[in-house]
Amino acid sequence: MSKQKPTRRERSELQTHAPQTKPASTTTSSLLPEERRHLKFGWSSLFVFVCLGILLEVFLAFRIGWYMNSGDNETHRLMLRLGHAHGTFLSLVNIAFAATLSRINLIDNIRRLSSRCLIAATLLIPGGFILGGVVTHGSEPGLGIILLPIGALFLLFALFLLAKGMKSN
Amino acid sequence: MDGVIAKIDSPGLEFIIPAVLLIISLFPFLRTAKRTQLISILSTPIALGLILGYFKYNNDRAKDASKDALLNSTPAQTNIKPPSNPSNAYMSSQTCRACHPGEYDSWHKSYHRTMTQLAKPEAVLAKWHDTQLPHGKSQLQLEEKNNEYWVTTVGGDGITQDKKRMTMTTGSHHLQVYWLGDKNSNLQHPFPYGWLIADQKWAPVEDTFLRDPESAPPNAKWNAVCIECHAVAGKPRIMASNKGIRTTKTEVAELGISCEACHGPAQEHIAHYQNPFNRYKAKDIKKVAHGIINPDDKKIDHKKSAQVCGQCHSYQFTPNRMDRYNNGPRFIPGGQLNASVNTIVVKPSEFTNASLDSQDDIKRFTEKHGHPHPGKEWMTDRFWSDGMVRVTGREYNGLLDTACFQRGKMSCLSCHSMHSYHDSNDQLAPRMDSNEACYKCHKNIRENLTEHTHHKADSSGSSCYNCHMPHTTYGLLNAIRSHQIDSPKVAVQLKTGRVNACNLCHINKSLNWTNEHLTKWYGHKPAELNEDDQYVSSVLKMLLMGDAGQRAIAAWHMGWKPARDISGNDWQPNWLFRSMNDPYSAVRYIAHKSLITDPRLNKIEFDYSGLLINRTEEIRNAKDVWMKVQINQGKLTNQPELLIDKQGNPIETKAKYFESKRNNQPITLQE
Repeated sequence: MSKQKPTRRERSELQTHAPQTKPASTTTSSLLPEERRHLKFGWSSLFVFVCLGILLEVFLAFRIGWYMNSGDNETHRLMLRLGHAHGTFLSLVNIAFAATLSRINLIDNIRRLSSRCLIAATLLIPGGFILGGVVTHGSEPGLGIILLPIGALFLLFALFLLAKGMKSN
Repeated sequence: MDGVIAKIDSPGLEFIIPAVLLIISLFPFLRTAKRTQLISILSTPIALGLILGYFKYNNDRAKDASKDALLNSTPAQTNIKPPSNPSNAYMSSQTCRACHPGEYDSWHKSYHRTMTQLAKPEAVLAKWHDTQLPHGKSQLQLEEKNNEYWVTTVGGDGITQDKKRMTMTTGSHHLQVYWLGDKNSNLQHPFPYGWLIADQKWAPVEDTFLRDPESAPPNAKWNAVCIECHAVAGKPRIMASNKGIRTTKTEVAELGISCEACHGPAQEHIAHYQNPFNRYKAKDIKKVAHGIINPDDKKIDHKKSAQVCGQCHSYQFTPNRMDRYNNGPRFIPGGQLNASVNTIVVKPSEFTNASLDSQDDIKRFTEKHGHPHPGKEWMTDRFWSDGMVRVTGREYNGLLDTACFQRGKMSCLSCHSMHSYHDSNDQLAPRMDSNEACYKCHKNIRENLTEHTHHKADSSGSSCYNCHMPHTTYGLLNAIRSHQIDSPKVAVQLKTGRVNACNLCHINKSLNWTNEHLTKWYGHKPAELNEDDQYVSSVLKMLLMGDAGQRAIAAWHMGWKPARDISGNDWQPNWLFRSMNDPYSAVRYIAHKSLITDPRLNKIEFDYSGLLINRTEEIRNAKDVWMKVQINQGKLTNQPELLIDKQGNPIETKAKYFESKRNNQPITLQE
C-alpha cells in the first residue's frame, strides 16, 4: 500500500493557501497519476474515434464501395459504426472518470485496478467491433469480435469496483 | 481499399490482430500487480478469448466452406457488362441499397426479389427436413443439416443411389420449386416436387402446370429456361465439349429480378453520383436520373416504360439463340425491346395460321409478325384464337392490343407500382384496385356509372375490372385477369371460345341471356346462337366441353365469390365433383378449390395429384357430404339451365352429350 494521497478538499485548501505564482503547473502536478493517464488516454482515444467517424462519413459521402456495399447483410457497416460509437462514448467515460476521480476518495488498489480495467475496456470493446467488422463471414462478424465480451467483462468489473468503492467511501 | 481488406482477410491475420490488441490492453496490468493477482486477472480474459476464438473460428470456417460450395454450384453473380452497352456494368442491388434504402426495402418485400434465391433457411418455404417423397420406384429423402438442404435418392432395394444438394429456389408466392446442383458445373437440375404455399403441401411439379397428361414431364434446366426472366442479365453459356459432355458456365448479374432489371446497369450512375457535388446538383427531382432510367418517370414515353415490364411479361421470339446464350439479353431498359437482335416480342393480333413453305416466306412472316410460323399448337398453348394471350405472366402482349395503350398513354405503371404498392400480391398502386384506375382518363364514367353499367354503383357489376378485364387468363393454378382491355361480346365468344365477362359473373345464365342484354343495353348486333347456347349456362357448357384451359377457367369461376353471390351456390358442387376427376391435374386442383369455397364443404380433403382410385374414393365421400347438406336443406328444384333435375342431381344424358363434344385437343399452357 503506497502513501495515502491528500484528498481533494485537502488539495483544495493547500491550493488556496499556497502562493499563486504558477497556477497552471500547480494544477497539473496536483493531479493523480490515474487522472493524468485517463485525461491523456481519453482525449487521445476521442481524437482517434472522432477521426474514425470522419473517415466513415467520407466513405459515406463518396459512396465508397468497400463500406457501402455491405454484401447480403449489414454486419460490416453495423460493426464499424458500433466501433466508432462505443469508442467515442468510452473515450468520454475515460474523461469523466478522470474528472470525477478526485471527488470519490477511492483506495489506491481499487482506483488503480478500475483505471486499468476501464482502459482495457476502451481498447477491447470498440476494437472488437472494428476488427469484427473489417472481416465478416456472411452475416457473422469476424474473429475480432471475441474481444467484445472480454472488453465488456473489464468494463463491468471496473464499474463494479467503482460502485463498490463509492459505497465503502 | 478492397485489396487491403483482402490481405487482412486471412485466418492468420484475423487471429493475430485481435491477439495483439488483447495483449496491449492487458499490458498495464503487468506493471504493478503481484504474480498471484496477475494470474487471476489475466487468466480469465485469456481463457475466455481462447475458448470463444476456438469455437468461433471453427464455426466460421464451416459456414464459409458451406457458402463457398453453394456459390460454386450455382450461377456466378458477377458484374456483367451488357452486350449493347459494354462500357456500363451491372452492380447488384446491394450497391443500390446504400443510397436508396426505401426503394430497396419495397423491392425486398416484393415477389420479384424472391423469384430466384440461393437455398438458405430464409428462402426455403417447404417442410424439408425428414420428408420422404415417392419418385418412380425410388424414394427421395429430404434432409436439412447445418442450413444445407440435401436430397438422397434411395432405390427400391434400399440402396442409396445419389445424394445432391438443393441449391436454389424459384418462387415464393403461390408455388416454390427447387433446383439441385450439378457435380461438375453450375447447371441446375429440377427437383421433381414443388411446394404449394397456400396448401402447405408437396405436389409433383408436373401437376402444378396445366399440361397434357400424356406429355413427358418437364425437365427444363434453370440455366436454359428460367434464367431469361428470373435473374438479371443472365448468360446461360451451356456448352457441349468435344466429348459430348455438357459444361455450364452460367453467369448472372444477380439472382432474382432486382433493381437493374428495370433501371438498367448502374455502373455509370454510381460513378457519377459517388461525387457528392453531383448529388447536390441532382437535387432537382425533375431531372432524369443519370446513367439509368426510371420507368415511372413522366418524361419517359409510355411505350418505353411498358417495354421494361414487357422484356419478361411477354412471349418473345429469339432469332439468334446462340447470341442470347452466350451474351445474355441485348435489351436494356430505356432501349427498344424489338430492336434487340436476340429478342422480338410476338405480336399476337397479327398472328395468322397461314401455311408457309419456303425460307423466304418464313423470313417475310418474321419481318411482319415478329415470329416465324410456329404451328397451331404453339398458338393454342399461348393465345386465344383471336390473338389475345390466355396465359399469365405475358401481360405485355395483352397491353399491346389495348386501345388505352395504342391510342392513349396507358402503361403498366398506370396501375401498378413497384415501390408504392399497397399489396405485394399484384403490386397495384394505392386506389388502383378500384374504378379509380379507369377514372383517371374516363372521367365521364364516374358521373354516369350506373347508366353505363346498368348495375348498382356499389355492385361487382359496376367494377370496370370485372367487365373489361375478366379472369380469362390462366396461370399458377388460378384464373387471372386478362390484361388486354376489351368489352364483352357474344360474337367474340362464339369465335374464340373465351367466355364473355357477363357470363363469368352470371355463371348460371345462358349465352342467349347475355345476347339479349348486350343488344338491349349497348345496341350490339344479336348473334346467332345454336340451341345449346340458348338454354344452357355458358360457363357450365365450357366446363363440360371446353379444352382444358377453358375448363380450368370455368371451374375457377364456380368458386369466385362475386359469381356465387349473384348466381346462387347450391348447384356448383355436382359439376365440380365431375371436374375433380378431370384428366388434367390443374383442372382437378381448381375444381376442388372452388368446391371448398362453400363453407358447408370446406372440410373436404382431396389429393388432386393422387392415384385415380384414391381420388374416386375421395370424390364419393365428398358427394355423400353434399347429399346430406341437400337433404337437410330440403329445397331441391329443377334448374334446366344448369342441367340439374328436381332431385338436385346432374342430368346425366345432357352432361354426357356435352362431354362427347368436348375439345380433347392436347394442351399445355405455357406459363
